[in-house]
Amino acid sequence: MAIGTSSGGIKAFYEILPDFSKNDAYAVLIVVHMNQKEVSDSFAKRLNEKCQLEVKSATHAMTIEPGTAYVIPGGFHAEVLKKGEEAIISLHEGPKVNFVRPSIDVLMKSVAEVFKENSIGILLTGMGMDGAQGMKAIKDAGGSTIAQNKTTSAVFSMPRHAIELDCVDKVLPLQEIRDETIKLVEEKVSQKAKAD
Amino acid sequence: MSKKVMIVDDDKSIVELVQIVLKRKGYEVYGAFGGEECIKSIGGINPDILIMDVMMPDMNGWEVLKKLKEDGILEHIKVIMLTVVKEPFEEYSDLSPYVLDYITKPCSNEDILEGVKRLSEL
Repeated sequence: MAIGTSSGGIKAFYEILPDFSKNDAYAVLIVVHMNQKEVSDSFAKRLNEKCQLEVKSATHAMTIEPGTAYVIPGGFHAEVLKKGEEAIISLHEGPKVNFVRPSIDVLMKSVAEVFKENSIGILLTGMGMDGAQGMKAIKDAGGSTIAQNKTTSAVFSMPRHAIELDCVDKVLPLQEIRDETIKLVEEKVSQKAKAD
Repeated sequence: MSKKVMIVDDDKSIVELVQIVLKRKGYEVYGAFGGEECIKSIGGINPDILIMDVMMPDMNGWEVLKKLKEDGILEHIKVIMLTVVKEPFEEYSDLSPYVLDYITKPCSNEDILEGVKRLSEL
């Protein structure tokens, strides 16, 4: 699951992530537009104090473990890569995308490529258009997408761009995103069990 | 050490009120009554957190941030924008990594205190 946000997103994460249970069915990858690694590291530490999930700052080549949330460090793009049976996080300082690094599009496109129909993209409050193409990639890969609605978004630009691309399954108030996500995870686990 | 907060608003009563509220909570608070005053004085203050109004007669808050970014002053400052608009112009999208919080006006003292507390913990 990839969740992206920018302005107003810290408050949004403090409101929804603590309610996500520590569950072996999923891992969460988090991009908040921040330019300093020190700030994103502090954010990961604060989130970890508030959450049932273990929240870590992502480091290069780190293996993605279920029941864990990873905050992508400020100043770095992150992509998920397949390494044998595992998925790992690759960090790099490539050119800014949509004026930002980390970019939500970069992360979500890689999540779509690796996890395909099992991927979930969530786009919360934020400035600019980052995240819209990433959400489209997840949708095109057969995954599921949710965007925060205008009423509960501090800044609606990012969710609006994704909605305009017609790649968002559900537009929800922040408070309903958690329940919808849990429902989606359960559905995907059951579908995968049937397929196996 | 207490965190330094700077509030920029052309409405003097708002600047003074926020200064009182934040000082009571132990923050070191500085005010500027407009964009130009902010640009002139911020270098000597070097705040941890900048609370910036958007609609100001001399310069809009986004233009002030743009100038501070160009001057290399914004790099280590966490910004809270105060505005009535939920969708800023796309041309300011590159400021997104600096604007970590966004408070919609009208807002209460509590909203501002919570925003400052959230960012001062990072």
